Amino acid sequence: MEIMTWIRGDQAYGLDLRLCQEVALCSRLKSAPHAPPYIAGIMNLRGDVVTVIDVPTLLGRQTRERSASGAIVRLKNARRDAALYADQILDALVLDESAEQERPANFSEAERRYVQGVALVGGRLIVVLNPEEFRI
Amino acid sequence: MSVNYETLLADFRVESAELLEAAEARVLELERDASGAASVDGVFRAIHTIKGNAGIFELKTIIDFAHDFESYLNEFRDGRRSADEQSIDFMLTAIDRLRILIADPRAAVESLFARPSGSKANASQALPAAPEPEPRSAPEASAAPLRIPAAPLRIPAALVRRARECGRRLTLVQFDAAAQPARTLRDFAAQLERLRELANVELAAVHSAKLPPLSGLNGRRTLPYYLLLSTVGPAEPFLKAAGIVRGRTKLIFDPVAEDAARPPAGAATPSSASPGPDASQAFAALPLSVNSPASANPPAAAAPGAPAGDDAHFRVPIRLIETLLQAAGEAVVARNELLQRSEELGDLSILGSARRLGQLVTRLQENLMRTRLQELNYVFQKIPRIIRDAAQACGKRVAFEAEGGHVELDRTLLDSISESLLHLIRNAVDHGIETPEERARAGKNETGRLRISAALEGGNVTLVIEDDGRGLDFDRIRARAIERGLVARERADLLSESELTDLIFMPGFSTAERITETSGRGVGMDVVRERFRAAGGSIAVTSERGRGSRITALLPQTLSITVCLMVLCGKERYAIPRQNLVELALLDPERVQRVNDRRMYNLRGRMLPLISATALLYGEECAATERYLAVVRADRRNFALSLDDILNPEEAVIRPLSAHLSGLELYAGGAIAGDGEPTLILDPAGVARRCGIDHQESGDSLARGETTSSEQASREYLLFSYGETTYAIDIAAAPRIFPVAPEEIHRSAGREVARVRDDLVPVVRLDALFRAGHGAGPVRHLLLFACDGGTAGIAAEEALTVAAIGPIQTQAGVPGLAGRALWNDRLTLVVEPLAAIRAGLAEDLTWKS
Repeated sequence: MEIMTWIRGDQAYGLDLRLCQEVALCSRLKSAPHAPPYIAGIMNLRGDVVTVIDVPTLLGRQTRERSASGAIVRLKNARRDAALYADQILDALVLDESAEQERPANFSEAERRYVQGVALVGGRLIVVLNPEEFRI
Repeated sequence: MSVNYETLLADFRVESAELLEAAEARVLELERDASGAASVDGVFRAIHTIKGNAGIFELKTIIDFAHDFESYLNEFRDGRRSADEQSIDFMLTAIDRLRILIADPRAAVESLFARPSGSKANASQALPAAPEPEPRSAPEASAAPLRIPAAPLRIPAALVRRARECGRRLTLVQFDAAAQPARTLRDFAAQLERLRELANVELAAVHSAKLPPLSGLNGRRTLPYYLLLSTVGPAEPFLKAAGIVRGRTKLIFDPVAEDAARPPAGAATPSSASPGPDASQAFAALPLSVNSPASANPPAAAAPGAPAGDDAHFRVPIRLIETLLQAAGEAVVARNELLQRSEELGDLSILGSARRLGQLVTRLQENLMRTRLQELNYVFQKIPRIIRDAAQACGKRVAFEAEGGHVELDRTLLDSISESLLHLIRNAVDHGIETPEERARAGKNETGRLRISAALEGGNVTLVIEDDGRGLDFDRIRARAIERGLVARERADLLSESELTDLIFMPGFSTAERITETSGRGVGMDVVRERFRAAGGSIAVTSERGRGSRITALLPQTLSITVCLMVLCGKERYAIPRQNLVELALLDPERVQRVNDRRMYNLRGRMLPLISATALLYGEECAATERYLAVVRADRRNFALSLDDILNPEEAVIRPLSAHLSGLELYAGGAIAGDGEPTLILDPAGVARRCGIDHQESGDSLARGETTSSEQASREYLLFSYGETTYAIDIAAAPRIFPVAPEEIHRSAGREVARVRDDLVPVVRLDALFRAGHGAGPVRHLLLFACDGGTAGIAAEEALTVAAIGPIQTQAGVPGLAGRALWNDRLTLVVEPLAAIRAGLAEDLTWKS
């Protein structure tokens, strides 16, 4: 499986490349009051209004402030209206089945829902997101 | 470009559906005018075109069915059959069957394999059980010669003009597609594609009006195919190169001949018919004869609705338009950025170009938006059939009129409401219009009238459905509402007609005494209203007993572009859709009344619930800076929204928000403002719901009536003084507070009336009604209520506040008095306003007029 990988906070994340529409610079985010805490805000992506999700918050993890020079991974869902925030985009890489490991047992409920597994690639531990949850 | 079989098949289905609708309309025409030969021709042409197209896909069941249908139709044309009710029914049923066959061609394909030959018998089975004289038709008519109108081929003048401008020849090529070496459609498409690469193919079409019958040519199928080639030299070598065989060509336009200023050879060419490049050359007629009995017949006049030769429309997949619109939207944003940058740069030449580009982009986008519009006729034309079926099912007679079918509406919106519209029509026939006997008894014309009209006004489309039937039966609505537990019995008597009308929109409400074939299944007006609301519109019903009902629906013309007012809340920009805005005002803190946790705003005597947008979005502590007020309408209820600032109105392309945000029911969508900043569009209905002033909620509590005392305690009342007594009226009864001077109350014929704008309104004094014994006071305000179709006022001195009151000790026996309660340790009389007005005016029967 090919995955797109990026860094957010101290953690590397990955998502099935087939679910990634594009990578873009994160322009000014506008917050949406009453939105769930994992919604970083909305952004103008070439005329589209895209909702930007902060993955660590979605997983219930502590993370650091978003940097001014961040990026986004736009999701290839039906309306292409959501994106994941990244501090830094890494690369698209082929995930070897042997590299993939089970989810650690101490995962929270949110983590179990949104994370498919963890993988060790080139000495870096990547949290691979559950594609089912990012399809819609 | 490659031609995809599936795409072609989808086109076939769409076109066939349209043709069947046209055929249906013609059948209904025939019903009105049994002698209408043109109508039969119209049906025939539609069926024939379907048959021809089905031939391309080798959909044998459809071909056979259509063929039998044609034979049947021929009996009308030969005068062997006349249009009576049975035959009309039969034709409509046949059209329905054909619809089913076309919708499911897979089934058709299977049955093709199931019976390799002799399908005639099977196809006849597919025909519905025919009325008596039917069986004669099938074998006989297939032998009878078909008469096909020899409609002239029409070549758009624009093509001739273009050929002249480019100095090219125009050649019309006719060939038999069935006789080509290509065995499959794909090969044939490839053949055409090859030709396209070599020469300039202006038009390529099967001319449906010239299709010969598919059978009756000794089993050989022909499919006359026409190409219009634009070439520099002769066209024949191109045809040869593309492998098209057995073609016939005819020169339509030859620049050389034109230059020589003499009519080209071939008497039928258009330039000979009308020399000179003027408007008379609008259409070139080319009577090419086709191997069919058709040419033997006198040409029937080209009937309206003939599909051939129409170059004004072009079928485009919706998805392509969506893509274009999206690109245009991006272009708008890029344009804005470019404009801003070039203004910063200060280079006038760049700025000029940028502005020019900007105008072009705007024009492009506006026109693209218009491609999404579709005429209401698209839905209107389905109505006659609906009415006919509904009327027949319940033995009624209905005359239908439509107006404004040319009004255009966004395709998506049209799709989302068309079912509801048809449901309303069905309802009107089923519930509204009476049987001929009833109508005769009521002294009306036995044929009921049903009228739909549409008009475009200020970006909104208004749809009105009127009938002259019995109108809403309020007694029955009341009884049904009680039976369904929607309203308490005691409460039901107090409901006004407009409140009762509202009840029919409640889920699960249906007044039909029996479940009929057409409506009354209980899915009804609630769903209809929901649809209109979801489309950004509204719907309302008015009715007069015995005289008919009138349904008025309002819809925005397009969903995509909305004028929004940009406002500032907590230093951030938000947008409010213009269609929800009633008025703007400065916020006057003096007029804010705080009651419990809820604030009301007194706007010219009307108490509006007040919501602070800033507090809603950012918390109470941020709301201190608000200086402005927008009166916003949502779900037919107004409320005041206080704001930090009011910016400019802007045309916004509404973008859907992801489910994370749209699920909040607070934002109607997103938009990119002119400076490129993403902006959230507030959803007024959602804001109202979130703040607990939802219309539905208050309507429910009004309708439920019976509440426990603790619930009563939490409800809010308008408190007012009169004489020395304090009265309370449930604010759900929606009083309007109107200031009057005591001397404006006049006494005439033993009744007090006040002048309210241009009306004289009867005045009810509660002290007299309740024998409160504290005497009358000066009347400084009237509390106005809509009651039984009129307006009446309850006399008041001062409106005190809106507040919750203590538990009500109910008191029976005094009409209009619900009970007593304590408010601020003061005894308060709780008034049922409508009952009080009715009781107060009971002896006067003439006040309503």
